[in-house]
Amino acid sequence: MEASITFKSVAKKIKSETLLADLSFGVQKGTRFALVGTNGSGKSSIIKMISGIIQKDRGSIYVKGFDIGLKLNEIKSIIGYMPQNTEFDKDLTVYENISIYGQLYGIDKTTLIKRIRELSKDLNFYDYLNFYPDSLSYGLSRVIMFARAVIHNPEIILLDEPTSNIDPNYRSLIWNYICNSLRDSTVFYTTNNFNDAQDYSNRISILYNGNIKYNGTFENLVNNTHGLTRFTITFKDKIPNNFIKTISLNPKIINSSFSDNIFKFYSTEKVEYFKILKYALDSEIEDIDISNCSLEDIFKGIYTNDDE
Amino acid sequence: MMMNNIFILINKKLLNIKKFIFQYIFILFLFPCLLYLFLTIPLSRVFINLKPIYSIWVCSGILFVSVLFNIYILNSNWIVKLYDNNFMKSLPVLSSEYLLSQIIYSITVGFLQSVFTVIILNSLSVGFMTFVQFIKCFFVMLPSIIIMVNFSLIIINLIKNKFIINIYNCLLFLFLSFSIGSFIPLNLYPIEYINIISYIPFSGTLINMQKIISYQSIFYNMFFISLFYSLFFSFIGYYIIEGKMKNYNE
Repeated sequence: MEASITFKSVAKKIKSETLLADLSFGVQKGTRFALVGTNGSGKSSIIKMISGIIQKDRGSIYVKGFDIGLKLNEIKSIIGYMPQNTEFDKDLTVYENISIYGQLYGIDKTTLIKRIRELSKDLNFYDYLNFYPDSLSYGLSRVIMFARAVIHNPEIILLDEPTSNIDPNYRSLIWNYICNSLRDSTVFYTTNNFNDAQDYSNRISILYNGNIKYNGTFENLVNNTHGLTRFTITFKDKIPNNFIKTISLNPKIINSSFSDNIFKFYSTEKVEYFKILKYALDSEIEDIDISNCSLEDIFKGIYTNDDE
Repeated sequence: MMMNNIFILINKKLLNIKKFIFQYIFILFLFPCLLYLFLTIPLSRVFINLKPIYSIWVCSGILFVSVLFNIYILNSNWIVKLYDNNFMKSLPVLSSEYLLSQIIYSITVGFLQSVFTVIILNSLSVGFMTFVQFIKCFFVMLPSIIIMVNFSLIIINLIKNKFIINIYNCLLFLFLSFSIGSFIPLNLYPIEYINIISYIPFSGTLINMQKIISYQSIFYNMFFISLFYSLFFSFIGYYIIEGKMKNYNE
């Protein structure tokens, strides 16, 4: 498979603190690649480095085989970038905001008019084309920023937390458009929304301590956890102290958490769950739940060093 | 492609003005009016032995200050917008295109300001400036406009605090108005000061404008020195934009 983006031993320091250390990974052409990590882990910096906004300190970045240090302007013309913050020209209408930037990507005016009409109808903001950005809701602004990033049908789309803090309607508008109309493009996005990453990406990478901790499909990530399952027991009243003491001694349960009357833990063995359930039955139980390990669970596991 | 991008960027700046075009035109009128009212009228009663008469001599100063100060303010606003906008930095636009578009735009706005200023001054002081004099004055002012575009870039790059920038704006207005002979003839300053200030390209431009108004031939060497300075400042401006576009310090 052809690689769209390749990082080779990339390092980046911000204000003398190492943000990324010896980072290497690749993104295949035509895939939707999700990068997850905690706030400040360097996700946005990675996207900014690909789009040429900030410089790497060491290593190499290739986009479509071109070294970003040598062919930056050519690379910029095939990239569509949506920043994390809302960045519009406040003195221009929505139409003008999209149109001017479309022209800078080399689209002729006739095609541009057609494309803006198409995009605004698909993404449901046709009625707002003559509005100024200040009068738009946050969710709508994000949708329009997304439209601006894809106006030139870019081969590579970089989205920095595209759906953070927006309501489900706008979120599904963006994802439906990506999944249906941008199937041939490579979509590289950062997110803290684990459901988005789980549902809409072909590959997921987890950024941890300046490097990629996991990189693969969600199914692979789950397999790496050896069939880790999440178990929940909801007690009618507060969790009994005896129960907590007994559970704490069991080495086969992972990342257990007690909150008021809910007891949550992870394990690869269902037998352990039944043993614990037996103890729990000494008290009154309201609900039980067994579910597959989610991306959020894996992520939390990594950050508490209890994933295995 | 390069020229295309430059024209698109200029078009964008003109669209930016569109939203408050009437306020903008009002300022273009108001600024030279106030300079005439608050500085020229009282000072014309002080400098009574000047040739040509003060109210005509000072017109080059009003034209110079109103154009250059307007351009300085306009550019500081633009560069802040560019610095804060990651999306703009991700576009396939070269630093030279940003700089050239800003210079051409500033020249356009400078020309507009000059037209407004000359209309006002011609209606206030009888027979002040012919069309040919106006074109000549604007031509000798071009290097100073380019210097001012880049100078505002340097100031905004060096000073981040808005409060300090506002103070610098006031200082620049004082400098343009009173230190290079815009409103007060330079021969009234100490000779040591004149020796220093004559090295500043703005004063050379102003002297040439005053000569054009007095129907004297201009100092071409001063014009070429200003042109040299404008190229030098443009290189600095280019490297500042290049540095900001690539965020070398981040």
